[in-house]
Formats: sequence, structure tokens, C-alpha cells
Amino acid sequence: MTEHIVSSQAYAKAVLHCAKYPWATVHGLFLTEHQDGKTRYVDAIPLAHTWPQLTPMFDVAVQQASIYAQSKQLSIGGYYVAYEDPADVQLSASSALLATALLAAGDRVVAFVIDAQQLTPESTRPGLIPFIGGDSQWKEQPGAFGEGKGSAFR
Amino acid sequence: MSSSLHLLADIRQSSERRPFSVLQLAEPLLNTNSVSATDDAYLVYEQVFISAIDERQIELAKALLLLLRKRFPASLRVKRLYGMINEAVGHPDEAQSIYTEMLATDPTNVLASKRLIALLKAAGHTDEAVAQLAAYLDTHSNDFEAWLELAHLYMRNHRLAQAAFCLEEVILQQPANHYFHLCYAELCYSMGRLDLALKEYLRVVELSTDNLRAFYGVKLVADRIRELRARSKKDPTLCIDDAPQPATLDRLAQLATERLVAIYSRANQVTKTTAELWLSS
Repeated sequence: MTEHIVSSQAYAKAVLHCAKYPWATVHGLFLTEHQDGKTRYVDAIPLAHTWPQLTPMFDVAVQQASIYAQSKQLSIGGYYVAYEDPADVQLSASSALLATALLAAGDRVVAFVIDAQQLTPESTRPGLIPFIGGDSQWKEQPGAFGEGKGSAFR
Repeated sequence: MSSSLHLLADIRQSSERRPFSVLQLAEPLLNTNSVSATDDAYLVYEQVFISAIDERQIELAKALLLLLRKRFPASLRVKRLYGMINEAVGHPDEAQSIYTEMLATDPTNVLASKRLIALLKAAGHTDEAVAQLAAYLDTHSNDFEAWLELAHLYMRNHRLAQAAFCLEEVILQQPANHYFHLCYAELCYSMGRLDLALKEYLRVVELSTDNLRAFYGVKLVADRIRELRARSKKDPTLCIDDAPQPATLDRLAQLATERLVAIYSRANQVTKTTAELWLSS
């Protein structure tokens, strides 16, 4: 099983993006590198906080992000989204479509939903819920970021 | 002192949501009791009340609410503020019953209808909110902001065709506002109606200056239509029937590229290099 390691920079950027626009749904990309069977989420590119369901600017952004990523020997390996409604922690239909579009560009993409309710000082887990795509469905990975040996994310 | 009052009046006029600024401006006025003598006193109290609940300053909000209640004991406008403070402290059921009571007294009360819809939306009952908003729009179909809100709710549920219908209503009422044409263009693109998307992006270019998004849109759509026409197999989900001739598309893409290069020449190095690489690909 691939180990996924999310860097502080990537996490911080995604979470700060979410915090800057608490009234809106925000989304963005994660840049990754794959090494020794591990996927490191090295950096994040915040994309938008308006109309996250609409595709044209997303298409342009992904194309430009790919150019940037290649120049840094990275690839687009992740997509994050933080919904308007903090209780909403399932990947929505629009987000699934966008994440699937990313799969066409790269081979391995993990979609993350930011769980805003976990973004408190008292929280013991990071506020990211990973979804892995397969058979045109995005499945939540339970117990990710957990303490036990079964967790593939940290 | 009066300049603060002017600024507060400006913020009321523009209906911007700037709770921090409002409180900063109003607090010295309230502390030195400079507001009560003015004509706008109660407007200011209402404005500061709303900003106070936005910034979780509940005690201040309660104090203002008492002032307003004393002056306007039977007012529905004040009653809705009671609803709002209930929402702010996490008593949605009380708020809901206040709004429903208001609507029972006056079924056409716009404030109560809107607060009820906002409450449903905040509680995550999107479908109910949509239903209520659609009912509201049956009577108040000239409220373009409500159409915009409905479009937003539909987009959240990925019902793009319904969202596009709402945007069409908005554009009918506000045809010169490029922002709405932009949203409509993006909706059309997302639904696969590329010919209409191109027209709307061009309309945005016409209605605004140096609109980066619109130039990107024109280039993106023109390139995509050219690419789709070059393919032998037609994709039934994409509509390009009404698109212009190849020569026109080429010219449009070229013009959009020129404008993009001009705008990016002022950008920082990283952005500029990436953009130029994309534009040349």
C-alpha cells in the first residue's frame, strides 16, 4: 500500500485558503512527488473560491499548474476542496467530476475534503479526508491519518 | 465624528458585509453617545446589531436590540432581528418559529422569507431552501439577487441547467453587468454548450476592460471548438453548431492571446513564464 505523506507546507496552504474564505467553497491542487513507493504532497496551489463547480477556469488552471509542476519535477497528485457548509464532508458530484478530470492528466490523484470541524487546536487529527478514485467512483478512506499501523496517510 | 457616520451610511448604501469595520467605526460613537441625537440613529443601531452578531459580540447586539425594541415595539423589521440573534447563538428552531410567525401575520414579508431561506441553507437543508426560494420567486420574480442565490444553490447540487435558467433571468434584468454574463459563459462551458459560451465570453470582453477571465475563456473555447471540428467523431454532449467560421475562430484566439500577453507582461516572473508557456502551447 502506498504511503502518503502530507507536508506542513501543503497542509498549511490548503487550510489557510479555507480559512481565508470561510463563507465560500474553496478548492485547489496538491503537487506531489513519488519516491520509493511513497507519495509526498509537497505543495499546494489554491485555485478558487468562486463558482468551484464550473470548469473552464479550472481547465486553464490545471494546464498551467501542470507546466509549473513539471518545471519543479512534481506532478499534480491531489485535489482539495473545503465546502461552504462545514458539516459537509462527502465529495460532491461536481468535485468528483473535477477530480476525475485530473486523473486524465496524471496517473495517481487523491481527492481530499477539508473537514473544517477538525481545524481546532483541540483536534487530534488533521482536517483532511482522502478519497481514492476507482471504477468512476470516489471512495472515502476511513481511518486515514490515524494512530494505528493501518493508516496509510500522515 | 460625522465622518464615521458618513462612512457607516456608505456601507449601508452599498450593502457590503464588513462587520469588523462597522464595529470599529461605531464603537467610539456609541461609547460617547454621539448617535442617539442623529436622524439615522436607529438605522445605525440596526447596522451595528447585524455586524455585532457577525462578530460574535452578543452582549452588544442584545443592548442594541433592546433600544430598537423600545422605540419600535410592534415592528416586524425588529422582530426579524430577534430571529437573527437566535440564529447567531445557535437556536435555529426559535428563529424558524419567529420567521414563520412573521409570515403568518404578513405572508408577503420579504425580510422573513429571506431569513427563512438563509436559515434552511445554513442548516444544510439545501433542497428545502431551493423549494422556498422558488416559491418566493414566483411572487417576486424581479428580485434578481434572489435569482442569483437560487442559481448558486442549484450549482451546489450540480444542477447546472437549472442554474443557467436562473442566470438567464438575472441577465434579463441586469444586461449590462459583465459579471453575470461571465457566470453564464462558464455555466454554458461546463454544460458543453461551447458556441453559447463563446458568445457570452465575447460579451464580457465587450462590457469590461482587461478582463483576464474573459480572454482566457475566449481562447479556451475557440481552441476547443477548432480541436473538436478537426475530429471526425462528433461528441453528442458538446454543442458547437452555432460557432463562428474557422477563420473567425483563429482571429478570436489570436486576439485573446495578444491581450493575455499584454496583461501578463505586468505580472511577476513565475506567473509570467507559466502563462507564456501555456499560451504558446
